[in-house]
Amino acid sequence: MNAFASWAPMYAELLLAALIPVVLLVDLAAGGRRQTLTRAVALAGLVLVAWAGFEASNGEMFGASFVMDNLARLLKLAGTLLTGMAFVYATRDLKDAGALRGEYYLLGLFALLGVFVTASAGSLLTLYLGLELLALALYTLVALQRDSARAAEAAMKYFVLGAIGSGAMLYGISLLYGLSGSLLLGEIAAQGEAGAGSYVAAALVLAGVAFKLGAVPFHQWVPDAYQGPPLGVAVVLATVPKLAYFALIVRLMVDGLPVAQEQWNLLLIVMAVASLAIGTIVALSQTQAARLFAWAAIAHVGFLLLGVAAGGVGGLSAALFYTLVYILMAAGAFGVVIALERQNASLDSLRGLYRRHPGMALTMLAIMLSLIGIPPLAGFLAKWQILMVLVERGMIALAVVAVVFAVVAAYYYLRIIRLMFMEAPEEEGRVAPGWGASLLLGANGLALLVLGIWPNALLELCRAAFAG
Amino acid sequence: MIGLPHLLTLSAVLFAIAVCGIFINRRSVILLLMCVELLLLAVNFNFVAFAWYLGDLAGQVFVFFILTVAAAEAAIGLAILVVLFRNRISVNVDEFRLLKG
Repeated sequence: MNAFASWAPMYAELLLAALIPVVLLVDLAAGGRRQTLTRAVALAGLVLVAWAGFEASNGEMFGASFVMDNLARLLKLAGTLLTGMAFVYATRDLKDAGALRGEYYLLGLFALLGVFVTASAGSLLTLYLGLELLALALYTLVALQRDSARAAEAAMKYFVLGAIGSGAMLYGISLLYGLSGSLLLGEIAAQGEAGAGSYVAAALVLAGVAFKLGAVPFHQWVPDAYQGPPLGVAVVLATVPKLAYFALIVRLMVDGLPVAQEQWNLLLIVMAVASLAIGTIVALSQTQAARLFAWAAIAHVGFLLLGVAAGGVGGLSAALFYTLVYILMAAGAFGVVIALERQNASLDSLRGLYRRHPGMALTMLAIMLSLIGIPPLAGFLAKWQILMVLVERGMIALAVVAVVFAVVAAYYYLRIIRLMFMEAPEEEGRVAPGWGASLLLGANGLALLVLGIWPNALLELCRAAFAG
Repeated sequence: MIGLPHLLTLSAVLFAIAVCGIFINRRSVILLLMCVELLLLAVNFNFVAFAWYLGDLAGQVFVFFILTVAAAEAAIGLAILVVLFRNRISVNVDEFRLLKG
């Protein structure tokens, strides 16, 4: 036991890294016929990984290159949960698309490992390796449906733009290294003077972060990457990576570049407002579910960047809470659309859902109301937290802009609610999602309600992540 | 005598060529992949220059990691390209029009 004790901060990563070859071998042994077996092993493994995430102790390893702290733990547990949910939701859609192979689970787990490493990054090297592990897994996931020209085109666009984003960020990272003479984020933060070099580095790094998050003006890949692949891939793309990118902002920008904070904060605010505006306005005219969610996601990224821009423990914990609640809502929304058994679902396939499956329509209602930000659902509280911090910091104009676009965004969510409850269905017959997906969708909707009414536990965790 | 500024200028020029290549190029996806590689090489150049200037090995170690990741990235990029070509019989950037809205 003692030999393992010194590895205690890394338990979750070690277990996940061990799980991946096991899943590969199980899939190989099952001969690609019994995907349920692969999925069961992957899900059971994720439960173990979550347990290891609880057990792992806070601490540093490899000369502070790897850091396990409260923030990393929260992000890892959330990532494990969301990956598991995505696996359950996605199965049916991938089967219909003819893309359900063991690789899906493998690449999902690789992406999760990338999220883990990024969340725990203590140096520029670990940060870069984690992000690339995540990005390479995601490029491949998008191209999973090999016989689809749309998926291949989406993968190519995502790959090229993602590679440019990584390149820009890496150039900024190399300047940071040159300025501080160290790869450790702690030592980079300690550098005294801000000069032209650190401004350029901050701008390049911020551009890379914006590429990854899909913030305006680096958002062009988001709608294509959501729409091109099967929805079962899009549900992973829309949820799990956001956690890593949040960790990236906190570790690299907030913790690593405090000297140039004033400058990059200004850029961040401009990007946040532009994302809110463009995401919301373009989403108004979308008719296709995945594309609508993509533009809405851009607007939501704008909202959470406002929290980061407000800064401090209050702003960052509000942004973290927003991220966690948002990915829960996004997973649920994709889950419902997947259950409709439609490839490239247009919004019309939601028509009359209440008559075809009342339970699912009510779940979607909860998710949509939460996305709008109606109390007592969790989405309301997430928005409220960020707005309160903005007002506290005297950024009242930003708070007003955020509220205005939140109200405009209500239009397209309400349109979905109207389609579900007030229109006649296009086709008869009950929607029949599998029992696993049904249960999980119900739990997903309920979780938003519960988190909205009793948010204190999660709020405390978010605060503890930044309180040191 | 060649100093740090010369090296950094060269790497900045390489970076600029790569970025321009990506945005100006309207022909082949293969050229895009080449520009992405050039982008990473510019970064490598920066790291090596700084490592030499600072007398610190960490920068050179970083370069090895970047080279490895770049190889993996090129492999995935070319794999996606093969899938794309099989579906479209073309690698022309201008014909990427399936996803719009």
